Amino acid sequence: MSEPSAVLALAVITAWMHPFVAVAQTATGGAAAPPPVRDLSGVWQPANALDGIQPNGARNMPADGKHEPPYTAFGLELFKRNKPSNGTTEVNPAEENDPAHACDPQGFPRENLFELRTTQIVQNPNQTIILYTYGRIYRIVWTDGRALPKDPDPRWFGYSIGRWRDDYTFVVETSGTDARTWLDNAGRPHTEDMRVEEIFHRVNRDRVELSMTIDDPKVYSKPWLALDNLPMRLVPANTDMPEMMCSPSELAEYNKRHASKGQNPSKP
Amino acid sequence: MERKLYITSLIALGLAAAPTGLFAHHGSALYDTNKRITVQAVVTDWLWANPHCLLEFDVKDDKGNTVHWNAEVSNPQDMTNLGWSRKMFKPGDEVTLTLVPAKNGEPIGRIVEVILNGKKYTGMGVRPPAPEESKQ
Repeated sequence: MSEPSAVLALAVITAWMHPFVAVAQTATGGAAAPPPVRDLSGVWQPANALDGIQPNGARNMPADGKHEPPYTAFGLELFKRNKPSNGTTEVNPAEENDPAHACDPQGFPRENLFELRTTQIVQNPNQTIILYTYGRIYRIVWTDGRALPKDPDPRWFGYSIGRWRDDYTFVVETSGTDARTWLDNAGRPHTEDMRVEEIFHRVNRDRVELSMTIDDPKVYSKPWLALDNLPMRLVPANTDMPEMMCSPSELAEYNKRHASKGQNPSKP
Repeated sequence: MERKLYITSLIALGLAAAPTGLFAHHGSALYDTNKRITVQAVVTDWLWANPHCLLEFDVKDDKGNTVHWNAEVSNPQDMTNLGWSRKMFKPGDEVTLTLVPAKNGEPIGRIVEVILNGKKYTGMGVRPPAPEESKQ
């Protein structure tokens, strides 16, 4: 890239990042205080805004030609059936089959792997409740000592239980997810047998790091890391949760006005 | 489509092909991401909605004919963070738009930048910074 182009690119990036940087600088202030014990409650945002969006798939396994989950033969076959509109296998909107683009719930773990934005965590003695911006979705992580259900009916967001490994590390196990959902925005597949492990590590008062491992032996020959210590920043408790919804009528309007025109044959 | 529009500049920026626009639910497959065009336009409608906000506008071609376009940016939440708003455009507004055009030549695009009343607003269509670039 030439120097003027580099300067232009830097200026554009800087301008784009400005509102997020401003939020980060004013959210907490001061030196980081020690973490509270066994407490994740608060309103959180990805410390670097783009880290939560993950348009090309899981942050630590993007579909960029350099990363590839360890597919089994069956898993690769499932992946080829999925036609995403992002990543190295992206197709035109007319050809894609992303269930979330029909406004299906994107489900779990995709809720963590695409459009992860402002997220509130609420705790009571028996539950850790996670409130997400995208879709105004909530998840309940049971902490009352129950086990994951055996042979559960699949649900969009599965079934989750959590426990504190130590005073600052909360481990969540999830199973029973609906196989119609994709893992991420790049169309990575899974079966109903998938198990997902999330680790929330409270580094200090102002920061949690989220890691997530996918384990689905039918689809992947070994567990793989989708998120590796994604930093989340504590923002003021009075932060109003934004709204970001998939509306079928808005989606239809977008397709009618815009996307459908891009699918016409090229003009001479 | 022949570029018979009143295009003030057509720049093939030597940027690496952008794999996606910012936050795009819908990727960049429709677009010629190596190109930018700049047009003088008159706004006809502004749709503030998910999954992507849409600006409708008219552009005069070099014969004086009016060509109707629309172009997208990201969702309302992202655009709010970039200083855009639901009421920022009204029909009749004159704007200068820098766009990523569609591959098939249809009059649609992604807004990289708009100048409205002398103020410049960043849209979408630029290559997102890699995580290491955005570290603070």
